[in-house]
Amino acid sequence: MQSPLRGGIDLHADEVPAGLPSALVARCLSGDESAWREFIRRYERPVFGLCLRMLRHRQDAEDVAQEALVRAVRNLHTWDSTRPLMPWLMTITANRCRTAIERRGRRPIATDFPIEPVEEQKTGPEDIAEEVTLALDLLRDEYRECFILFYQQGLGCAEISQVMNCPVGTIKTWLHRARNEMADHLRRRGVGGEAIVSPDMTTDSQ
Amino acid sequence: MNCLEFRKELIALVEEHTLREDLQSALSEHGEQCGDPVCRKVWADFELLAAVVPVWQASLPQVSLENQVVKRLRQEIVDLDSTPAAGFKEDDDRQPVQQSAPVLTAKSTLTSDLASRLKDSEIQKSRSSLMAVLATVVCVTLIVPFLQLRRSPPAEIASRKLPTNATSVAVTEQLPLSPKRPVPGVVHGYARVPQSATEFVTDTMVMFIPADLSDPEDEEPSRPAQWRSRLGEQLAPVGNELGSAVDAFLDAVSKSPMRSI
Repeated sequence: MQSPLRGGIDLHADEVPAGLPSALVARCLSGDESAWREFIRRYERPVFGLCLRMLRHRQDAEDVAQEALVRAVRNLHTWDSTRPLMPWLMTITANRCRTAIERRGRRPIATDFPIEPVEEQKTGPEDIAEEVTLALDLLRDEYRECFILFYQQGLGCAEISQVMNCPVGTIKTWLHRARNEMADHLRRRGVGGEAIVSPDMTTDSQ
Repeated sequence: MNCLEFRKELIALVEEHTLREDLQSALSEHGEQCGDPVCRKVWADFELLAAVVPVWQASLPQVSLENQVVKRLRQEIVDLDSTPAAGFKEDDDRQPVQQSAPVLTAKSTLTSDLASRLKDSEIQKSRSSLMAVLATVVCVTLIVPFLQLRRSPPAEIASRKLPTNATSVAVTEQLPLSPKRPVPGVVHGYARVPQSATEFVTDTMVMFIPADLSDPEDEEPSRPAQWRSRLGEQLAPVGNELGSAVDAFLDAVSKSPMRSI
C-alpha cells in the first residue's frame, strides 16, 4: 500500500543534527555570501513550491519566491532558533503569496474548469498531476492552503496552525474536508482507476 | 478491527504522516471488506489520494533562484549604503558592496547592519507619522474642551463672580455656539488654533485661582506678561510626557519579532 506521507521534498532536513539551521543562519547573519547561497539552495524548492501551488503561475511564483527568500534572509535575526525554521519560513512565504493574490485581484483558479464527469481514465503522471492541480483550484482558499502545506510542504497540523494562525483542530477539519472534496473531484474527473467507487459512495453518504 | 477503530486509525494515519506496519493489513482488510459503505468510501479516498499525491508532489518543476536572490540582497545593501541613514556613524568605513564573497565575509556585520538600518529607517518613518498624529490629538484635546466650555460654562465658573468686563466671558455670552451654526471665523480657525488653545489654558488658570490667593475681585483678570513667548515653557511638561510615551511605543514596536516581515 502506497501511503501519502511526507511530501516529496525533505523539508525537515533542518531537524537533522548535522544540518542544524542555526549554524547556517549564524553564518548568514555574519554576512557570509556563501552562507546566503547555501540557505537559498536549501530552501528555494519548498518556498517556490508553495508559491507555485498557491499562485498557479510560474513567473509570479518565481517573483514571489524571490521576494520571500530576500525577506527571510533580511529578517533572519528575528527567527527564534529554539523553533523549527520551516514554519517560520512558510509563514513569510504564505504571507507574500496572499499579498500577491490580493494585489492581482483574482483568485488563482481556472473558473471555466469543467466539473462534469468524464469517461476517459487519467493514468499518465502528467495527467494526474494536472488533475490534482485543477481539483485543488476548486477547493476553498483555506482548504487549498492547508492541503498544500500538508502534502507539498510536509508540515504537520501543529506547524500549519502556526503558519495559518488557526487552532490545530480547525486545521484538522480543513485537511479532512480538503481530502474528501479532492477525492470526489478526482473521481468525477476519471482519476483513480481501480480506486473508483460506486456512485452511492459519495461524500454526502457520510 | 471494528468500524470505529478503523476510522480512528485512518484519521491518525493521515494527520500524523505515519503508518504503523502492524495496522496496514488490518486497515486494508476492513476497508475493502466492510459492509458499511462509509468505511469503503473512506478507504477508497485514502487509496486514491495515496496514489495521486506523490505524482502531484513530484510534478513540481525545478527552479534556481540563488543568483537572483543574492543579487537582490546585494542591491539592497548598495542602495542603503548610498543613502545616508539616521544615526549612522560618520567614521564608518563600510564600502559599497558589489564585491566578491571573501570581501563580504571580511565585513562580518554586514547583514546585521542591513537589518538594523532597515529598522532605523522604519522607525524614522513611524516616528514622523506618529508625531503628526500626536500633534493632531493634542490640538483636538485642547480645542474640544475649549468649545464645550464656551457652549456650556461649568457650574464653578457660573457661580463665581466674574468681572463684567472680562473679555473672553463677555464674548462667550454674546455669541453662544450652537452645533448647527458654523463657528465664527472658522476660515481663520486653523491659524488661530495655537492662540485659542493658549488663551483657553490661561483663562482657565485665571478663573480657577482660589479667591484668597487672587487679586481683588473687581480687578480685571490679566494674562501673565509675555505669555505668548512663554508658550513653550507652559507646554514643556506636556511635551515631555508625549516624548516619553512615543519612546515607549517605538521601543515596543521595534521589539515585535514578525512586525515587518
